[in-house]
Amino acid sequence: MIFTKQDQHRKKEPVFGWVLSYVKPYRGWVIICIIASLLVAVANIWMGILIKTMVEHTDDFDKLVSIALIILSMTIVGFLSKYLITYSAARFSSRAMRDLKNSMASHLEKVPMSTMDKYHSGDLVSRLTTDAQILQSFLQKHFFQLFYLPVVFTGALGLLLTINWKLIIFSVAILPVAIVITGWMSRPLQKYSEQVQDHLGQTNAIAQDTLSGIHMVKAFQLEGVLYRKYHAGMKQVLKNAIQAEKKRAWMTAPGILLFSSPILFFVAYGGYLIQVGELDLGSLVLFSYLLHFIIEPLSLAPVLFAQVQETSGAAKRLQEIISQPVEQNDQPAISVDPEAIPVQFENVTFAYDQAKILDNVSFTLLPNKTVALVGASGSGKSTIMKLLCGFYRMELGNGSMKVFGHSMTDWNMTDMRSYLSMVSQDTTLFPVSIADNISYGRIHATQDEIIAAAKAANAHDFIMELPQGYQTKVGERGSRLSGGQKQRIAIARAILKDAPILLLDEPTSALDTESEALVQEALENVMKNRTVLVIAHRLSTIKDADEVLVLEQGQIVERGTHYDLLAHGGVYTRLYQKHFATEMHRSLAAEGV
Amino acid sequence: MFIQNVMRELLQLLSFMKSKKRAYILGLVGDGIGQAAVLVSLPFVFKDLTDLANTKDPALLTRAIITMSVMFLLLSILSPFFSYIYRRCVRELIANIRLQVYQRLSKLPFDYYEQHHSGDTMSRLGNDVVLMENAYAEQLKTLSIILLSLIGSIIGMFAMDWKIAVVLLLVSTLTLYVNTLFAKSVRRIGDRMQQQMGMGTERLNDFLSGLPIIKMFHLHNVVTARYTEANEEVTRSAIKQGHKHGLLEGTNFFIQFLSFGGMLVFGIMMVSKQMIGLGVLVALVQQQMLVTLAFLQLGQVITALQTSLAGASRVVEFLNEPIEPEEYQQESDNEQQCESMLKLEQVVFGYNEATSVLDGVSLRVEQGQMAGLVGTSGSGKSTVMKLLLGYYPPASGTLYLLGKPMGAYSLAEIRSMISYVPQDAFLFEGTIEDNIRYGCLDASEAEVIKASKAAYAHDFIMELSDGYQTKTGERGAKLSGGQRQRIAIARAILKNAPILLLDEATSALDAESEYWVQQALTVLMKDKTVLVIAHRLSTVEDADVIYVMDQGKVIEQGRHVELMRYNGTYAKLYEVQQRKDRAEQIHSLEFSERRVSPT
Repeated sequence: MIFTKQDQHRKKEPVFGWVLSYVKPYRGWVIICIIASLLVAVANIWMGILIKTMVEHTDDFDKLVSIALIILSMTIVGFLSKYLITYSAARFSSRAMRDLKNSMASHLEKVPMSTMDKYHSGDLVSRLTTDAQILQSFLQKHFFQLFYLPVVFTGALGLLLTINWKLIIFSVAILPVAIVITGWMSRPLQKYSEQVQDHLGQTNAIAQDTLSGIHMVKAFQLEGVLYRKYHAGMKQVLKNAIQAEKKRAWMTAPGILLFSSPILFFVAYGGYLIQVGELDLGSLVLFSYLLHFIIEPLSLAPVLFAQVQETSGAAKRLQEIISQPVEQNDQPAISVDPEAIPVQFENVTFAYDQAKILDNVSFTLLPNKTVALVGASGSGKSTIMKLLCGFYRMELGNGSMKVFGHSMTDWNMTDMRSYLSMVSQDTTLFPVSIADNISYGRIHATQDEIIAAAKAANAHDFIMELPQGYQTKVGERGSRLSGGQKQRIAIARAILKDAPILLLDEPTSALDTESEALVQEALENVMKNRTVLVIAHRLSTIKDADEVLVLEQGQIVERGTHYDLLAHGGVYTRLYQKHFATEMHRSLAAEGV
Repeated sequence: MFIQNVMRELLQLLSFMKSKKRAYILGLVGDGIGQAAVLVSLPFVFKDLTDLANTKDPALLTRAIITMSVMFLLLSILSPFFSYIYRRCVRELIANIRLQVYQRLSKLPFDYYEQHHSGDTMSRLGNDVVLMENAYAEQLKTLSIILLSLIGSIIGMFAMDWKIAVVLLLVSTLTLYVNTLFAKSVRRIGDRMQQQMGMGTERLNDFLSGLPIIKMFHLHNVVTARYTEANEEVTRSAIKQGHKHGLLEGTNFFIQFLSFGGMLVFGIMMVSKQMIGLGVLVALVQQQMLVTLAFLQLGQVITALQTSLAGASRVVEFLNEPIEPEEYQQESDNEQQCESMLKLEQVVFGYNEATSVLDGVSLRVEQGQMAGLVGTSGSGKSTVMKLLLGYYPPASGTLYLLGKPMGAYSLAEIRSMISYVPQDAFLFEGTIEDNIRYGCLDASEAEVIKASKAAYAHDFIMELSDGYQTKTGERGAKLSGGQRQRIAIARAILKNAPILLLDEATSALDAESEYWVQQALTVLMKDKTVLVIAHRLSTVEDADVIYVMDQGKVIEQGRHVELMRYNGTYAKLYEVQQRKDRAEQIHSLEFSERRVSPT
């Protein structure tokens, strides 16, 4: 599932046109690169003309001196051109690749989470590193050859034509055929290289998993079995790579023969012309010089063909990501009436991978009220949250969701989310300082505001106890902090954002008693004067809620306040008994009640 | 000096080849000879043609044609064959290097994982290995062709005219020297660039794992910007590298074009003074072209190789990271016995030297007992578990397992004696069945199902459309928290180890899941020696012993009743937790008792 291709989303746009669209902004440098390579080509060809002149005027000393001067000035032009070719190629290729990577990142920000779920992060990393590198190295090292080689080839050819056209025409007659044949033969390489990169992406996912789950890997001694998995993936990579090499080898032999035949013909026919006296020595010297500029493009042509195919394999994998449809972001801004109903679900039905997760869910969240979601795991609580965040695209005709009276389809996602604040169980922190992590709630918050938020989240005291205080770096995924500390920082972040609607996936149960009290207090602070939708685990939260929705298999089976529901004696009562009643009894017993 | 360094690193690259070294070199040299032979023979063919113009001897023409045909035929037969041989070697080698890096990546001590971002390690496995592949597949091959054709043409030139040959050789040496001058700084930039790429991958990982938060808090300008910043730095280095490369290419062109032109001018003068024949000049022009091209390429190769070597050295550095030892050396006597199943004696430990997280912790759990570990966050509870799992050796003090000091076991033995259910139930990419089976790899399907039934996971698994074959997604993202936890418990049940470590396993669940998870844990804990980190004190009320930790020390110990009587920290913690619950619950109990009869 993770690695399936989304063929239906692939644009029809040819992959090289797409790559070139990233090169386009730097066309100035591309043009410099092309002009410089043409200059080098011209210098090389011009040298041929000079040779011819020299051979014809071996006794004219003045002529030789002036030619020597021309050569000298050509050397200087050549030096500059060579420098410019390399420099500008590096410049436009690395900038184009930077833009491509950056636009990939901003694209990934915009695709719905349902799309992201299909890719393992290790696979995406592999695309953005290895595949991008293959593409860049092509642009940097081979792109200019696409211009230089034909020019130097035609130049040399043209010059030779002026000496003896028959010889040249006959020699190169076979070339068009050769180009078509090698082009045709190298096509399967693209498929192989795509497969190699796909499998590499999969092995990368295993490696990423091993690193993220290293505690479990060691505790359960999974080094061996995961290694075998990785090994199996690598074997696939190798299998495809070797198949590609075999193909390459098969196409090299006819390639060499086809491309070397002009030279062979040239030697044979040229020799004949010399023998019958149609070709003089001067021409021969010129021929011998220019021949290199015919051989070089010819011998590089099959290599370039293969390179183009392999590169387009990598480019396609990048294009696949960027052609994933994005969530709606171009809707015009909506002005919000503060009196409007913050959240309204009407007959919302949602299916994911053909499995129905929400079935006809309707509820209304009024301003400054709290609605609690209760139900077994897998009953659809988190899906409601995710739909409200706009993470998943809802099919039309499956009910409607309204935020502040406007249908979800009318909202620009970025705007809509600015009205939402979220505290989830999985507290994602970034490996920057604590102050930065909190400030992510509102980027331009002052130091004082950050501290105020941290205080409200009961986080200030423990932060100050850390040796570097607010400047403490939290490590990858906040690994240097304990669960309770991470949660309080996430709460501080949400407090700082100060959005009218708060989505809360109640996190308090993962904490020790002391942190729990602190976090609970922090949550009460953040829930004050806000419209709250909460996935509730704690009785106190449920009891304080204005409405409790009991979910079972995607449906709201009961609704009402805690007391209404208990009086009703249905699903909620059963849940309640199972969990809270036992705990309560125990605590009452301990107190001797 | 520099040449020596390059040679040393080249040899190091070759040493990776090991058993494949011969095949690789054979392929490289075979392919190189084929290509070089064509290049070297061309001047001779032209000499024949020039002589033909003078002598009109048809034998010369035949020889020229035959030489050319034979060379091309040889090339078209040899080149595919030999290039296949060495390219295959490269593919195999790179797969092998990836395997080695992967293997190392799972065997490092925990220090490493805590010090290094996973993105950096992933970058070594990706970006840096790709660079190494370039070195083997492209640069070394070009190098071999250049060297072979140089040898060929130098011999050829000496055969034709030694004076010009000497001049050419001097120019070539100069070129080589100039190249090495550049290579050093190219390498420096290459080193920095690979490091920056590592950082880019780190930030890419943060970006990918933080996407929901990025969306919700609109963090494009900060988190995404961190990634694009890293991209910017790489780009800047790449452009700097382009500048250096460009200078080098230009200089090479300058030297070669000038020497070529100079040779031509002087050659023509010599021809006009009848010091050499035109045929020789034609051939020399050919040779010179060859040498020119060769040296232009040599410059490119040496600098490109620097970039690859920068990648290679990061791979080598990683492969040289010391792995986790087989066992920890402990100062205590390994023969020493103790009665307890699990025991810590005066254990001191700190993640760095400045602060100690555990400050003389002693605790023990007898066979079949259940012990609770409570305390505030940061008191050292999780660290105790990590030491028991052998993630770190203690700074001082001794840990005992099954009556023997930990030093008496290998780390593999220690970990096979312990089942561990962490707070964050990590699931691997793959099916549910795979994830459960990780508890015991050779378990039968029936055993897997039995374990998942015992973990109260079977029913929900069967309700999923693909049952046990359902893919869990990255980090188990496609399952809910309660489902993940029960799969982790099923995994632990399947492992069936005598010691069980539970870290906040009942956390973060909704009411019904928590109920099922509790049931599952009861099954899991039966007949096992259990150490549990508890946050809901109700979990450990029935424990045989409770250790209360504070700031790296055990400050209270005893059964629940004893600790309550003692009226210390535990009692206070308990009070805090109970007071709140009670206030709410008494009321609701009164209310509900009329309608439902709690059991």
